[in-house]
Amino acid sequence: MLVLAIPVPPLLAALASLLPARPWLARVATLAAAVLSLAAALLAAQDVGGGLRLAAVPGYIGLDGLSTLLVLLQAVLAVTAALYSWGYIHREAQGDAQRERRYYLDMNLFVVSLFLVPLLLQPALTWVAVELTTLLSVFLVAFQRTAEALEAAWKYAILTIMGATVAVLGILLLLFALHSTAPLLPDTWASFSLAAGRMPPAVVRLAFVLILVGLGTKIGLFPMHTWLPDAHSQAPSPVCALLSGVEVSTVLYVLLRLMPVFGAMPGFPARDWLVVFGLVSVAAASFLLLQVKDFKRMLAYSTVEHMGIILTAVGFGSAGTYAGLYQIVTHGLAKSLAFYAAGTVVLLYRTTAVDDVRGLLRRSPFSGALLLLAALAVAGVPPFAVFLSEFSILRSGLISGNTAAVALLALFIAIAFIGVLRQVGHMLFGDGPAPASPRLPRSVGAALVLSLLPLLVLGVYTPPLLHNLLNLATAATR
Amino acid sequence: MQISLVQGLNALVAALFLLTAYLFLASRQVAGSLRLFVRQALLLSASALLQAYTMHSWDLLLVAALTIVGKAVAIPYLLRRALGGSFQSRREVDLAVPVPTSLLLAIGITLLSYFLAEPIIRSQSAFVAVGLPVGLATLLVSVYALAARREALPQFLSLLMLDNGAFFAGIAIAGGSAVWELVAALEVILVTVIVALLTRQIATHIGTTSVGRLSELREEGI
Repeated sequence: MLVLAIPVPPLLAALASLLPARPWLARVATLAAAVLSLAAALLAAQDVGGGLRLAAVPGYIGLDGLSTLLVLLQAVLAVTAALYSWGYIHREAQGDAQRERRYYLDMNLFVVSLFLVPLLLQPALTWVAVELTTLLSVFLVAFQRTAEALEAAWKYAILTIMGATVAVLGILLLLFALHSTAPLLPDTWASFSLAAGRMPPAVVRLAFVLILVGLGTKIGLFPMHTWLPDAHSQAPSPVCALLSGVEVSTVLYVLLRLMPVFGAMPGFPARDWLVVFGLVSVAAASFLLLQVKDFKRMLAYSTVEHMGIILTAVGFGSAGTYAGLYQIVTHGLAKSLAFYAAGTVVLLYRTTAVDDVRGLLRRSPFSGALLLLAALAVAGVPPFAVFLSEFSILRSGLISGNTAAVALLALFIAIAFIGVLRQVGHMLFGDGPAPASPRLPRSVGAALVLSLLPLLVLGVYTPPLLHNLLNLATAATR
Repeated sequence: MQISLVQGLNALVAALFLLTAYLFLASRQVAGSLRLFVRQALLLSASALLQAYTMHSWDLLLVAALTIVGKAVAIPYLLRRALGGSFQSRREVDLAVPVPTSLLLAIGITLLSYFLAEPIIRSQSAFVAVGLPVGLATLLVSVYALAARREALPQFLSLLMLDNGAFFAGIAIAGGSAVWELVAALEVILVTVIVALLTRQIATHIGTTSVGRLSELREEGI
């Protein structure tokens, strides 16, 4: 029951958004639903962290350590995004109540689809949920209805659906391998772990290529990332926070679920391939970060960089996977904060061009300070949590003997660090025009402060529950 | 290995299936591309029917029925309804690569697919030996077709053909497991609805569905 209490509230909030009432009902319903989902996720996490496996519908819906970790992150971001949307979307919709209700309908459905990916226990159904995350967020990306937003939505839909369809053949191949090695096992993720190592290597190899390329497209790995900076910059800021903060990690979760199968193939260095793919993404993204001219696109490229870092970490083995999973959490929190802060600049200046914003710290100290903190957090400066996870990743790489990869990774992280801080420095200091509209909605400020807190706490202290979940999740990818 | 009549028929269906993917690459009109997609979907369901007959599988029979209803009837109906005008136009589709080059590449892709599938199909039934390489080749040819098209509808039709390829291989290797086939069939209709709505929005707000001309989003110097 507890497990079902996670996706049901946003579903009800979506229905409430359909009612032809004033838009405040949709806002309240969305926020209340997100808080309820988070409460249910926290309760479920207590159980799972204590060593239980939760099953709502055995064989179909349930939670283990790996999925709980992701659900928690999704639920936290759903709360801050709902709070942020309250004031932000009201202003962006410019009094069009129908458009605002439509936004909340789409956003709640999108959140439901995100929850479904980790909750479903059957690979084929999880794949359908991954497709739904794209389909239900297309109109959120196109919300502005400008030529740029529609182009971004188009690329997003076509390329990620293409990727998912390539990946589905890989998943079907694995099911084929499962049926031929262990015909009596059900079609669940758990069966994959049980049969891992006994499946025919030729099938698993082809499946690995199809799945890495297919899901890699939706994760935003180089060179299939081209849609990501468009979609993740054109959507309204709270949607960007969800897309960059958690949607890409949700797809990465599917790849992690398959690691027991790919990692167990004798004579097939799947993890080395992850390191190579990851490093290429980090390298490309870090150089693109140096020349980008739009601050929301900058954050999107930083997402490509972070996905590369996490993939590399998983390639480093168990300790790396633990750190990579931690990075999924810290990146989600930091990136959502960064998009919320960038959204305040959009509200103030009505622009996303780095060159149009100067002297933000003086003109709007609150917005400027948070943008600075968010940039430091994303770039991985202590005491923020991203520093801790990136440091553990580098250390795990050294311990596992991947010295060259660690050196390259550290170099690219440093380049990305310079890229991000240089762009943000341009915006914060100097002297520039006053903002077009100087006041920020109160809910936007509240969402920013709420997102900052966990980043600071996790930077110095890892709660035992999180530590337990990370350990369980790492074990699930072995 | 003795090849039965049904298996021979299935091989013929597979050959025609792959041929429609080639013809799609050469097709220069939107209405023609849609007709090719419908024919390919019918061939897909024919293959599912032949396998359902051989294996006495009700699941595969359901897949065949769903494919006909969904892909050969519902999707063309939805697309024509939402975007009627775009299908009537006799205007030629803008291709990034000349047709003969594309066809040569498609043959190369087919050879690659057989090369990739060969170690898997060696000890498998005739259905897998035919379905997997042909499905994989259609999938990869469609990825290429998508990359070489610059307009919204032709890109989307390539995507639907990609889905056909994945299914063609899928029914051969994974057989029927009704839940997932049912959901996947509904899902492709949902994809069509959403993409059709998006295309209509693009046409209303921008006045063209040539996504090749939509190139606002780009980094300077790349």
